[in-house]
Amino acid sequence: MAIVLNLDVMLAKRKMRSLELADRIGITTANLSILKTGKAKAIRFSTLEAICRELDCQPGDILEYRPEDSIEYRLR
Amino acid sequence: MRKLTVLRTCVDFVFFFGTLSMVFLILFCGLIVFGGEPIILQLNGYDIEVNDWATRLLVILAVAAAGLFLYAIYMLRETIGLFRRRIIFDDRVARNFDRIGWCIMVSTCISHIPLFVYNIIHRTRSNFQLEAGLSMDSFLISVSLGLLFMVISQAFVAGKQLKEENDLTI
Repeated sequence: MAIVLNLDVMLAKRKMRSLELADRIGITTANLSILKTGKAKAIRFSTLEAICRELDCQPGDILEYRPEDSIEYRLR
Repeated sequence: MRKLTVLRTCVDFVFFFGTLSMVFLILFCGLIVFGGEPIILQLNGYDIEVNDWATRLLVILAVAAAGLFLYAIYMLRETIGLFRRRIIFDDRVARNFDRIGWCIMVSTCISHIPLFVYNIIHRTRSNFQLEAGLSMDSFLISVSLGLLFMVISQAFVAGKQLKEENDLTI
């Protein structure tokens, strides 16, 4: 997936653990792990809003576009 | 799910007696193919005197068609077993439905087409009839049923992708 969620940097800045963030935004640690490892196919706006609220950041601070990770790029 | 339980019971019943019948069919086929005396059989409504290799081949194809149909019933049994375990949108289910469709189609073709060709070649009067009935003996209905299972297989593949996307939507 070309869109990557960089939570580790923001978690380190806010001195928060993954488990704590998962509890605060109301998702399981397994789902948070799916987000962090890039296996998620989609993220709901409500979840993104909750992450940004708890980490006090903008979506652009945690979302990154990596074209080299897209299937279309690899098939070129 | 009661309907699933009833379906499973019906399919198990058909599979059990189908397997028993298949054993006797294979034995009977062996007797016909390798036996010396000519015998008159009825295949798909046509009377056939089994006295040469062409007619023996027809009998073998008819038994093979029955075997394929029995395999389709077995695949259906497997699929129902997966449904009972709440495994619905899965590759195995899609693959099973695809195989069921192929088995029904191939079974129908190898049981109807060679017999039709044989009748055209060997009958003294040509007799063409288009079966448009509603029974399971109808060529068109059987082929359509086979295609339906293959389409259902594709629907389950799409369903699996949608489920996966939904599961991986956080």
